[in-house]
Amino acid sequence: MRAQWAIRTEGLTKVYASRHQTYTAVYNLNLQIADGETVGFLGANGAGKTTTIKMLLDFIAPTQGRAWLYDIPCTEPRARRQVGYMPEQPYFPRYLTPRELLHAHAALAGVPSREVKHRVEVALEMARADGFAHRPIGKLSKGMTQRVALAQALVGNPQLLILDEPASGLDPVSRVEMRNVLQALKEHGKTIFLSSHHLSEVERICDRVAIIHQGRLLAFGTPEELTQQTDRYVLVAEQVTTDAERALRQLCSGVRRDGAQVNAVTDGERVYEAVALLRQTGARLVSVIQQRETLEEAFLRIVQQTPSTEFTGEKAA
Amino acid sequence: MLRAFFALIKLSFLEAVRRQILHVMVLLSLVVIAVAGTVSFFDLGVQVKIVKDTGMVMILLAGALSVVFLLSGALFHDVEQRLLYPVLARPIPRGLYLLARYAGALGAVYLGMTLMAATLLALLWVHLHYLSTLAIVAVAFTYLEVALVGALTLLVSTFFTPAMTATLTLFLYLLGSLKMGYLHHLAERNTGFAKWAITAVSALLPNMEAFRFKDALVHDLTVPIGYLLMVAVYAVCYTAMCVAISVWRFRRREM
Repeated sequence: MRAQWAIRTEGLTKVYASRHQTYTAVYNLNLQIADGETVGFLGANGAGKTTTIKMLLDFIAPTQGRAWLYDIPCTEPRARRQVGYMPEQPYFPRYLTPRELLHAHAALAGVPSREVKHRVEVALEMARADGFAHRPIGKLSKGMTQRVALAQALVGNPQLLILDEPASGLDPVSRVEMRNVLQALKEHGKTIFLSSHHLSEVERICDRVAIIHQGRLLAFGTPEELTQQTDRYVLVAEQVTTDAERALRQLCSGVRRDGAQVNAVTDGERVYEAVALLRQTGARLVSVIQQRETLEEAFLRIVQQTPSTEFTGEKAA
Repeated sequence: MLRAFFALIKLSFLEAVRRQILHVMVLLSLVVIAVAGTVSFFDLGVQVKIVKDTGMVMILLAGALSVVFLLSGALFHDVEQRLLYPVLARPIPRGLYLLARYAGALGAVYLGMTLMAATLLALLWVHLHYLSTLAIVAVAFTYLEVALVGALTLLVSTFFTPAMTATLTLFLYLLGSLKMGYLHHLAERNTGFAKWAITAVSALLPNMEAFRFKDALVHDLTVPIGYLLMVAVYAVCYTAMCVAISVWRFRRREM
């Protein structure tokens, strides 16, 4: 039976200490990520995202606290049996082709010999890297290398995918392709732990979002839980005369005509006036919708509400 | 686990055989051995001695320098280039990675040394019309010596940068080569703490002179089998100790 939690951390803390100074990269992190969940791990540069991932994969040891992958302490190699990891800025031996690399990683992941060829081809196809699988990695573009990195993470058919900035440095087309691949993996029931800067992508894919800032977990919930209703209303109306449109501009911002419809944005104070104006001028009101924050706005609000805490300090003599 | 180990050895071997330093060392040594064996300035007896002497020196020199240069920067490069992350994210212990890195690089060096040894043995066969058993034994112990130097390099590389590792390993290698003669002599000339310290350092250093059967080969001397066995056991134990400490150190390292 598979464990309930794919990832679990208790009081995970990492303090870097030099001769004169200490720096807390992650402080008292408590996470519980269920099997099959897709969780976005958001934070600015230096917030502690990569440090957390490094602790989960036992690249670095926590100063305090513990972490488990499928109930196995992450300090044990067997905890990584069900893990596929895609590093930020992946580097691979330049002389290998993606196919050769994946064959090696299939062996490292413990894929049975008779299944290796099939798994390699499936992973290349899923990551859309099959078109250039015969070319040396050193000759591939950044986008192609990212796809090879994803294929490498998928080759062991892992249940848990830990992806560190998978869309980093990708062009918009490649980013959409990456998102589609992640969506497909999510539909296959994989657990995805996704560290990213691209908030709109996270909002579209993730079931829950964790926001980390200066090493501290500030919020953890569904996008709906994290975002709030705003004081902005979007009005859509038809049969709006030129005079009515001109009057509407006095009350609303972003008034624009879109074919037969006119869209306008206003705040709570003036929404009733705008609706009354449209009625008086004979326009047909199609909808009035209160806008919700985007995840980006929620992220900025949550981060800005938090007093800046410098986790650096002089070391005691 | 065994398949993962061999996959890692293969990756390490492929990387090592692409390194130019290995190509240069092997080519240079082959040229020197071939020249020593084919250009005849002396009578046959002297010519054979020169072939044996030059051949053994070149195999050892090329093997030892190659293994030092290949392994001194291997771990540092893997960490700096982040090549290590996707590998260590797999369910394999760090020690296995280190062992495979060592074995792969050593395999590449052995490949080069085998080419040199084959050339040397072929030249000796041309001159002597028989295969010298002692030559094969002497070459085999050169392999053991290179394995030990590799393990020493690996150990030092878990503490220092590549340049520092190469310098320090070559220094230790040199000291190990002087151990029986110079250091023992130095210990005897001192008293008290100085004597104790020199003796302690001498005991810790690898005894490289124990592997040198060149003189026996050149002068057609016989070497007791018991002594050969003792040297082989010493090589294996010292190499294993260096690798074990490297693994212990590497397991604690933050990536």
